[in-house]
Amino acid sequence: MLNIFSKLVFFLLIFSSMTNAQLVPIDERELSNAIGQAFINIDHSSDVNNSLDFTKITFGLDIKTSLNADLLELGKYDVAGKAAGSADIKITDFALGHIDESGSIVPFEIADPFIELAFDNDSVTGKQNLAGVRVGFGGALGKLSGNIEYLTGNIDIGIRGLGKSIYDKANTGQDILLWFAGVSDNSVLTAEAELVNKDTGLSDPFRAQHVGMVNGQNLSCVENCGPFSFLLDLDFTSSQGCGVLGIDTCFPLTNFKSLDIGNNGQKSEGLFVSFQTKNIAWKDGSNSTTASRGAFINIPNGGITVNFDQAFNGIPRSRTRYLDPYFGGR
Amino acid sequence: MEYLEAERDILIRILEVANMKIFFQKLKARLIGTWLLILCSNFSYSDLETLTDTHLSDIDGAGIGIVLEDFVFNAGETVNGGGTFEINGLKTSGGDDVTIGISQFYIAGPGSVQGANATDHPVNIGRLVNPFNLELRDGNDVGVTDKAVFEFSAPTKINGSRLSERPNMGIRFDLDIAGTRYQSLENHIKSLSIDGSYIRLWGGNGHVEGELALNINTPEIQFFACDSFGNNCGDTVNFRDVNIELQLGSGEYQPVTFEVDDTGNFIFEVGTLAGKCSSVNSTGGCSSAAGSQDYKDLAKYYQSGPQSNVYVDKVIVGGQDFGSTTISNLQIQYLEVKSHDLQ
Repeated sequence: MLNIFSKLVFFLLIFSSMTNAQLVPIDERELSNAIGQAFINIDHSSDVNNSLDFTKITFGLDIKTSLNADLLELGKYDVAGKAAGSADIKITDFALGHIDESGSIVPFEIADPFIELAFDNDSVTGKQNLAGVRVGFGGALGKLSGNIEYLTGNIDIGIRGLGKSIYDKANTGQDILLWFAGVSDNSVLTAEAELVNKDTGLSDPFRAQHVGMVNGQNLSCVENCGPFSFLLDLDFTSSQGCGVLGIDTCFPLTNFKSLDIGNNGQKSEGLFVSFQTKNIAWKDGSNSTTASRGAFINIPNGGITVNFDQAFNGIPRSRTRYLDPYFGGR
Repeated sequence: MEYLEAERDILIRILEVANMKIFFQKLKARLIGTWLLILCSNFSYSDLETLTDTHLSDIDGAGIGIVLEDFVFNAGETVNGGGTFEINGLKTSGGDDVTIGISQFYIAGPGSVQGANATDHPVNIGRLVNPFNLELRDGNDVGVTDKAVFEFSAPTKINGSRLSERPNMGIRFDLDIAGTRYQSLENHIKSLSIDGSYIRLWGGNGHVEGELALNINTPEIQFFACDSFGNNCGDTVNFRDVNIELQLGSGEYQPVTFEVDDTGNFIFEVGTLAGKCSSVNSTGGCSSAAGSQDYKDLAKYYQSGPQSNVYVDKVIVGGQDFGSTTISNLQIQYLEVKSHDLQ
């Protein structure tokens, strides 16, 4: 390096006698036009109750991308009570963004990504333990595709659809009960689904394979409701063991092959992937999301909304390659 | 008559650079020597003469090989009498000043004990028979038609570097916000190899285009936090057996570009695959004939185009094993990254 540097100086000086340019100072006016780009913020905050300190680095970036990966697998280790070889998060044929019918790439959009570190203050030893890290986005919009085999986290899915979809799944006895509850084909029903254990109907945010209504949750009628729609709030119409009136209310995650991230075409906040050594409440503005030990993905409420047909029948995969195996290789 | 001897490789050797002080002492000595040569150059009258065809035929254009022997870089307050490299001008979202101090940064050989004994443990970066290379390549060999391609590449023997040629690296960041010091964060990388990495650049459509391959292989990456003075450090987060293969861009078929717009913000792009197929079917897929060039190019891209992989065998925190992490065969069909002001 020294030799090169010396040679470079020597080389430049050979030509210096042939140059007549003069360096002149920039005046104040020109200097005032020079701006530093403040595209990084660093924030520090504390959770005194849990002895946690947070350092968050935010990047002022707008990102548009279309990508595919054969496998995204985080936190693969054996845990009692879960299948051998399972992982905290496992998604095969993962993709962000999609290709529309005209052959245009519709990218997945990300705004202001950030990295946040959590430090655990050990009051006994005074040590600072690095307790967690998360990568998140100030906003996200677009299609997330893949076969979700295991998921740890918070992926609240809003279900909103017409009563007709329920009638189509119901038998004669269920039809009568729904009619009595004032549900018509045009009634708009809603429910909240979350990661759930298919066998028990209990919430199960760790290595879940199903999403659905947890025990005790009811369908709600919000539009075109009959006078007795309050009956939907009674216990006998609440979900128990992944069923309401005998209709399945829990569905394999692998059914949902392409998820629309975003809220009515706008970017949603709060999408993040984290890894922590203990339960940590990550904060986004006034919202707080408690992530469990290990790998964790959070898709905030309002991030995904499906209709009943999609819930019952799944969401087909969108095209993510120009030569796509899910479309016969073309 | 004087002839300029053609050299196959110019090997740059920096011997016995024990630390930055010695480095700069030598630099100063070399500069003095250079100035003396320049002063004397007015009195020299030697002519440059044309190479004969015989001599010219000996030149194979192998480029410049770079090897750093017995190399140590060690900077920070513990070795330079309190000097700390600082990054200023950052803000919090509330507008408070942020300073990031880099109070230690080292590149050394095995036995450097997380930088505590870096100066006595030099490392060879590159090997004389397998150096880092600066060269101009024939673009036709790397997917860029009829253009010269500048390439800077790491040694090519992937994961084969001898232990003495794989440096340990480390850095310590200290966070200061509005005059209050918070935690420091240390990162140490053992026995790092970037063999097989390269960056290629060429002239594109009015701008520089390129492609990038970055391979990272290390048996261990460590992170841990300490108090604001770098003491009383907590549990270590260990990433064991880390293998990362990152490939961005594929010649002129999918070039990577980096530009700065008139507002001063940067734009980084990995070229889109949209429009690579001359005809699409009703679902947006490529419907060109299987024998057509655009179909074959696309098929080749998906089969063997740029792919990125990440594999971490174990993540261990305070003795707890959080298992492996894998991202395999990641292909980026399009990427645009634009910066903007946060304030």
